Amino acid sequence: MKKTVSILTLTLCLLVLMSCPVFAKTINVWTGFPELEPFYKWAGAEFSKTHPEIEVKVLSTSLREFEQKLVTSIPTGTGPEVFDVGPYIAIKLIDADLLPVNPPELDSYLKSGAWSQFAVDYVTIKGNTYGLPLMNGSRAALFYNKDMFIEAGLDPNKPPTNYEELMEAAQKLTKYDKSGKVIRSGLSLRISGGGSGLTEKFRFVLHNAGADLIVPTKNGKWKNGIDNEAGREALRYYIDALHKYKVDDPQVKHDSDAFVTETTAMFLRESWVIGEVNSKNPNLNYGVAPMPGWKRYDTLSQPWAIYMSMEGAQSKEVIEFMKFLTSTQAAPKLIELSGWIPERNFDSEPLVKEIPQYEFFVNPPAEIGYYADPVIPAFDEIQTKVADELMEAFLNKKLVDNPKELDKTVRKIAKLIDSVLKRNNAYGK
Amino acid sequence: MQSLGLDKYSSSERSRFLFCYLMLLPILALFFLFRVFPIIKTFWMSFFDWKLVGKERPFLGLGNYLMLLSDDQFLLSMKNTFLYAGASVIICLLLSLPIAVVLAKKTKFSGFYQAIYFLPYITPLVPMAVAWKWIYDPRYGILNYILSIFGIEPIGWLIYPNIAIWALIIMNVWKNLGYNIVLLMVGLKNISPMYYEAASIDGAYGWKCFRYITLPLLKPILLYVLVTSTINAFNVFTQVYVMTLGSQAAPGRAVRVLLYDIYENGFRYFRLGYASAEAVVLTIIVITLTLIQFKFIKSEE
Repeated sequence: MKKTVSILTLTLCLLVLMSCPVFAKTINVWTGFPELEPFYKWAGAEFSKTHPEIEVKVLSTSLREFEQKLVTSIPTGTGPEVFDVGPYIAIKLIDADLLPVNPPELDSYLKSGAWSQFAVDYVTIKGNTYGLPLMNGSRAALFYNKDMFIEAGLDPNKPPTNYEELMEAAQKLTKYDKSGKVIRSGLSLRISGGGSGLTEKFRFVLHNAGADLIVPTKNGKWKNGIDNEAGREALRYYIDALHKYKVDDPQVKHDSDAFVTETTAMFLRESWVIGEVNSKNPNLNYGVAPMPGWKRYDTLSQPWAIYMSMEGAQSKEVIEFMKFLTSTQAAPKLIELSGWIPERNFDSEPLVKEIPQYEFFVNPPAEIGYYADPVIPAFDEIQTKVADELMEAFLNKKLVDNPKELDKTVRKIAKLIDSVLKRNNAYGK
Repeated sequence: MQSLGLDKYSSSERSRFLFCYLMLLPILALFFLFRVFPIIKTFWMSFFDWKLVGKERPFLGLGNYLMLLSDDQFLLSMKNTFLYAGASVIICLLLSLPIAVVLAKKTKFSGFYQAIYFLPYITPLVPMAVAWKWIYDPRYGILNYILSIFGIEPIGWLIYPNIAIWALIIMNVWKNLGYNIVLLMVGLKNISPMYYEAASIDGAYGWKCFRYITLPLLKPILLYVLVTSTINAFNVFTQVYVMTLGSQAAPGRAVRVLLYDIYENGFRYFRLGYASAEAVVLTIIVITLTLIQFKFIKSEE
């Protein structure tokens, strides 16, 4: 009897052990975008179907925490095998020889025509390619509330196409209380909050006005590109919007919160807003239009890539997983599960049919130009520090119709940019 | 053994000492590893262009310290930190002392009020800062709602640079008031009633008693409160970090304090050498202020 019980117990234990999946290898994936976690988890589960020996573990934290964790773990070889990160961190790791050059298999996959030349060039550093562009991290558009357009007597099918029209429409769309205070902004601008995001949004106006935060010099270095008439025009646009035409106010709700709760009529943002609207206010009647133009009709388009660690690049499975994450099979899932637009080409027809607002993001008009963050390590510091200066300037009423003060402010920002470039040995004349 | 002066102890006493030191050794080792060594290392790193990611770490000597002198953001963060620390410590002390004097008398709801005042101190900082962010919201915040009852126009507490730092000071005073009150009450209760009885025989009451008996005898506790409050105020970070997060947050420049600047340079721009130099300056400031406070209180004694 005792023997029978022992045999039965042993058999049961063996059966339990056999029913558990046995993973010979783990692929760790880290991200600073928590909304990407479901996508990576889905991809891991799918990948394990064809590679049962592989287990994919996903870790997501807030972007800044993730960046800190990554730059401390990669040099010590304790980081993840796969991760997505912005160009300003990637270039630091590349400069320090901490990121592997794409193996021939990934390099040819990247250049197979699945990506635009713009995206391929973006991950090409000194002739070598690094990682694969996963999604478009910054392609922005004009979001506008169609009901508010109708209410203000504007044609909801003719959104503003340039910044002048945008200001005119914003004035018609803004609502004030009896004391003249803004209760619904016509155009929600990013005017507060720490961090580089504020500068990035300011660049939407700055770039199309004809300037850039930094511009390359002949000797392959950089200098500020804001100390010029276009730079002053862009800043004046914000100042006028806030203090002269009062189409926005620091004290009202801003950003997607304002758009979703219908306390702003228009704002400039990326594709993820569509997911936000769908989940928080699905009945919102809104449209998405290309970024308004000025001297240029460009839109920021920032490929956000996935990379492998040095250790990860040694593994055939990791390379295959990288390819799977950027496959045509994974592309629709990326939008579905995260709201972000895949950088690679894919069949977007079913998506646009279901949610027409995606049209601009997946099939942008051919005449639109693109620009991206310069791939230099100091750019994030420049954007963050300029944000502090801009924030102060936006609240300064003295800048209204005051070219002298405006000029002083722009020069101060320009000086700050050049000083950061100089300290990073990236400044050139 | 003779040179160590241990010969005056018996062998059993010596083995007892040895046992004590052996038992202390792990804690001392951990203290050295996690406290002393990082301080020495920080000091060392401050002389290099030490980047978190990078192949080279060139020696700069005093280069980082000289750079600090011309760094607008560092100078601004110094100014903000001094304003924040000075105002927080003074306001908190001025408010907590009279409240402690009142609560130290055995009044009816003394215990209840002590608990109420102490609650903010034990509230975790992050949720507290998030809650205050809402309290300060210009449109939906309860603070502006209360002010509107008195006909005061809504204030953009976290929007305008000249107000944002005061919004942080108010929050800090609210948080630390209870802690100061409890400490001062301990000091007040330790003053023997004998002094007050003697004073009353001599005809001294009220303010005179407070000025010539309470205040001098409370000095050790006041010193402790001053020192710990100053150190805590100079180490402000979490509130600033939370308040500047997001698109509707406080202007980073207006509330930039030293620790935030150190964090940003060290862990945002990965300039560890430069951030270390800032940390050394902060340490020197706090030590100097503490010594001044000690000297000031002692000289009065």
